[in-house]
Amino acid sequence: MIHVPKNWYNILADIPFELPPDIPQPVRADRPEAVKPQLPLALVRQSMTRDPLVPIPESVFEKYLSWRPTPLRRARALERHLGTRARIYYKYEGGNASGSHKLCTAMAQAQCYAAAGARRLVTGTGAGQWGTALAVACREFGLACKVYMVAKSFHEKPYRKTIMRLYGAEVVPSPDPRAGRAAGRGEVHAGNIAFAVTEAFEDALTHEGTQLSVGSGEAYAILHSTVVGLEAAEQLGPADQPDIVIGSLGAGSNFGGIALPFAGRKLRGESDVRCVAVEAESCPKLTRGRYCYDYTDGSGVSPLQKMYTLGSRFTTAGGHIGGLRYHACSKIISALHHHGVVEAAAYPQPDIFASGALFARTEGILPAPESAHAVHGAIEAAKRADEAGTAPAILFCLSGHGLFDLASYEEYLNGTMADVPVSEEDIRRSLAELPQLDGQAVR
Amino acid sequence: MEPRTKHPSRADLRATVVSALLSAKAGPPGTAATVDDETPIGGAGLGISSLNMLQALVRIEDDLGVAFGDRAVAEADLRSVGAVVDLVEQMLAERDE
Repeated sequence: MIHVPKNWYNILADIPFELPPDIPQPVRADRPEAVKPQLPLALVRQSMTRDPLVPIPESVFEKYLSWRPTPLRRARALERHLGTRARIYYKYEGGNASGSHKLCTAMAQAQCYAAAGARRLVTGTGAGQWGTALAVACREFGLACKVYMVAKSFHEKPYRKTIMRLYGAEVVPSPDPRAGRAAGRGEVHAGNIAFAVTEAFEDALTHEGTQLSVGSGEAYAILHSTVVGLEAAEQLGPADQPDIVIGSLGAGSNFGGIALPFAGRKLRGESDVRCVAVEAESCPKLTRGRYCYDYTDGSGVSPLQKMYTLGSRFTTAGGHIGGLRYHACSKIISALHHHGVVEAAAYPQPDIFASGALFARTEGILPAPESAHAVHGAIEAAKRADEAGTAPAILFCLSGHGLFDLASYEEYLNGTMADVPVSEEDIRRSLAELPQLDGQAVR
Repeated sequence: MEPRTKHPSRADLRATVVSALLSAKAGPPGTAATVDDETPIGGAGLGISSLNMLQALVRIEDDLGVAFGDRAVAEADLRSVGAVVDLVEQMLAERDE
């Protein structure tokens, strides 16, 4: 009998170093008005505690029971196809109403905001997984919901929009050329998650009873996602704990959810597990970004956090990377990478989709493009192990299904899918716009 | 564990509040000795952001054994150090009722 965890795992209890403090934007001297909280205290408490286990509120636990524990399966058909000696396990998070792991934090956040008196939540979403999860969670906790969806995905994935509306959310493209910051600047572009979050934040500031909810990089969002890794550890049992844990990296909740409970064991000296974050080659913050202070969204007024970043104005050239499009990596995952606790890899888009298609044909589940990054990482790890003559246990998070992503798979099948590498010049130009203090980038 | 019934003095509460506010704020440490009830929280005063404020309240919860409610915080007009001290006194009184 596998139990749904009653607690989330907090890696802050185990890291042997201090996280770099956030730097708030200077508060204007001519603005003496009252300081208005934008976040429920419960989420602040969860972000600050150093307790290793953070209790899951009863009402959230009851919601979790409607789809958890999620299946952990061994990918035997994939192993046979590869001819590998590695044992490949995957934790499937696509079987809930939203179709992805994002529902873990969406439920927890909706409960906190509802308890704090919010009546409406707004958010930005990339491919729509987070927006869908928040729509589902808002419905469960009696909140209205508005989703600012990255324009490229909004137009390319109309049925993702439909399912969010089905669950009761209002969905608009970001940038919306008719409203908000984009109109003020006269900007028209494909959009990115940082910009969508900025537009959502402007909405929250101007509507009574409305608050912004974000789904990935915040410490509490990663904390809520650790039920994935905690369950997997119990399901694998003491006899076959993983040697390698792999997750896709957007801002951090996907990778952190599966990997941090295992990274904690490594930090405590209980295992020598390798944790590998797989990011999109077209948004390579950990593998090619800079570890420095940057904005967490595109507003230019958010607090500065020290993290691996490509610059908050970075826009991917294209490609089907969905929620991996965020310009930076959460400060916790960034610090763990900086200190050598977790590794990172990036692969070309056609290789990612080839692995996604192979997984669908062998295991019978079509991975979301984000999840296909983890699939590819696991296949690469198995191949490297075979070359080295080892037979590790590999665990990865199949974070969501790809049934809303068939247009991208169609492109793959038609042979028209292109590689979308990022040039050094693109990265240099974006990093040149990093925030500065006293004329210098903030290191 | 003995029940907490004896309230700290207002001066002690102010010292606790100011210490929590300044430690939550990143950057150069402030000068607590120059802070009084009228000192603004944001703007030209302590320059505290809304997130810093919430982090400070969580520190105060740990220090004093109180629990702030979101609605009470949202309804409080947290313009000055004195307003935060008022909120803490209110929470202490409610705790001990």
